[in-house]
Amino acid sequence: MSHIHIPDGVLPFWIVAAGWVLTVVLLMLAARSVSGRDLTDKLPLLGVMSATMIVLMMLEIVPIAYHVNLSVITGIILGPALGFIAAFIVNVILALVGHGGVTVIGLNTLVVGTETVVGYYLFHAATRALGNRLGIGLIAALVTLVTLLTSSAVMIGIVGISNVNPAEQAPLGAIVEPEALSFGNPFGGQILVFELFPRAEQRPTTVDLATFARLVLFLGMFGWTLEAVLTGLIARYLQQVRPDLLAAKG
Amino acid sequence: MAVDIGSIDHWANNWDSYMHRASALSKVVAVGMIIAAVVVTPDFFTLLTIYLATAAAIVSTRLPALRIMAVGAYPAVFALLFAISRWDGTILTPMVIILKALAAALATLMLITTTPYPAVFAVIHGLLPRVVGDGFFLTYRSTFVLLDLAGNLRMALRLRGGLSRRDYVGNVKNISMGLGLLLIRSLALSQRVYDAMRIRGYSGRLVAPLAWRKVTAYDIVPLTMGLLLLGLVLASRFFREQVIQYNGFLLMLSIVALLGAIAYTRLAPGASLTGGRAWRR
Repeated sequence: MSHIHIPDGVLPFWIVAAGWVLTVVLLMLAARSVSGRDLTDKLPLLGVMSATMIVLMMLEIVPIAYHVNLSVITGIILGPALGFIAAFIVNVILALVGHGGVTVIGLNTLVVGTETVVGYYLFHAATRALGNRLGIGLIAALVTLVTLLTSSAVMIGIVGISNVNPAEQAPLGAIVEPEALSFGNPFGGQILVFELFPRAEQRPTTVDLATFARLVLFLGMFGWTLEAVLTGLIARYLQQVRPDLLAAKG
Repeated sequence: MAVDIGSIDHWANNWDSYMHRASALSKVVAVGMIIAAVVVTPDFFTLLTIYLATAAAIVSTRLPALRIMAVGAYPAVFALLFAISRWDGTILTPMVIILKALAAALATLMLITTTPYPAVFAVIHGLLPRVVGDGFFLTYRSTFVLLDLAGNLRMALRLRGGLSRRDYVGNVKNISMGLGLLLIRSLALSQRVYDAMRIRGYSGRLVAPLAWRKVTAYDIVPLTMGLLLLGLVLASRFFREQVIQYNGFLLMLSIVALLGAIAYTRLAPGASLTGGRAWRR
């Protein structure tokens, strides 16, 4: 579920703008934090992990409206700074191919970036605390579950915050009116009018947050489990053949 | 359902049309205006007009428009979740939300199927920190490396019996190991590409091609389209009563444009290049 699949022009402008500002600031901080380092090994890794996320995000599991992200394993491999940069790159490219709104790239980067950053820190904290008692695969799977729950909470929070002042949404096109298809006569009157959407008793046009949260959490459970299993098995495989990839420095 | 990024790249690089010849800058600006129009309008019929006009533009390029529209329908599945939670007693609100997703997606697809990715990326290249700019380029390169390897891996898994119809647990296990192997192999390949770039003089900043800002006569088409659609939306917001009574004519106009574009691809000279039926593929 992880990133916000909300079209352009539905969320209020202020929250979209805030998402962009926060993303740009975090992106600059991430770029600055890696600027002094030798990135010879890390840049190809950044490209590969971003590409992997893009390819997997394009494979949608239709019945549960879910796609695998591998954002947690990306964070574990790249570290928090490059992981956040990968989240930004992925969201820009996905928006270009019509997957996700252009105006919500900032908010989506924050949500997916949360997964890479939280995933990285949780994984390293868990491996330090538990050692080899549970095994890398199980730790990665559990961390993925917790991280995806966290990012979903962030996403629901963003949608929830967008309801703070619903009146603000009106000038931005979020509130629609019943409409007719009208063929007007420039000399007065109408030639033809089709009342395609007759006026019904409208409820307040705000998001029913409880419904949204229930949908996200219910459908997400299946996706998170699948993603956790995949991440765990990939982590276990990498531990066997390239353990250095799982030891990224923050 | 999957978005075929390889096909999108092929359409952008190997196709030729008036839209392909327009500069990347003009198309980015035009798509920006169309998305602004989608953001601003609350009207179902205006959104439908924008969607059909964009579809007409894509059809007239002789690209396989139905496939592109199918790719553009991808976000609608996800938008449905949000649309359900915005239920207000009328069918109009969910339809507007889904149509916003469809119209914005089709506009960005119009850009990316007629403009090579490096040219689109060149427009924002100068604004980004070095590591982010290089990340975009290497991601683009790696995506195709990964797609090639993924194809080989899928075939190898099938031939060796790694994917069976009933053994779901085994399938997940094999796919996960395959993904791990894929990561390691594509990493090795990308590392080689990166090493080659450094040997050839790469010193931390890629030089973006300058063609993206070269103004051509073809720029008039996307810019006019963007201006008209944004102008229509702004007019219907500020002069709602006057403009809304003609929304039927505007919708008819976009339908005529779409039919005209289909007729053009079938009848106009040069249509034989794609058999005049490319829009249906």
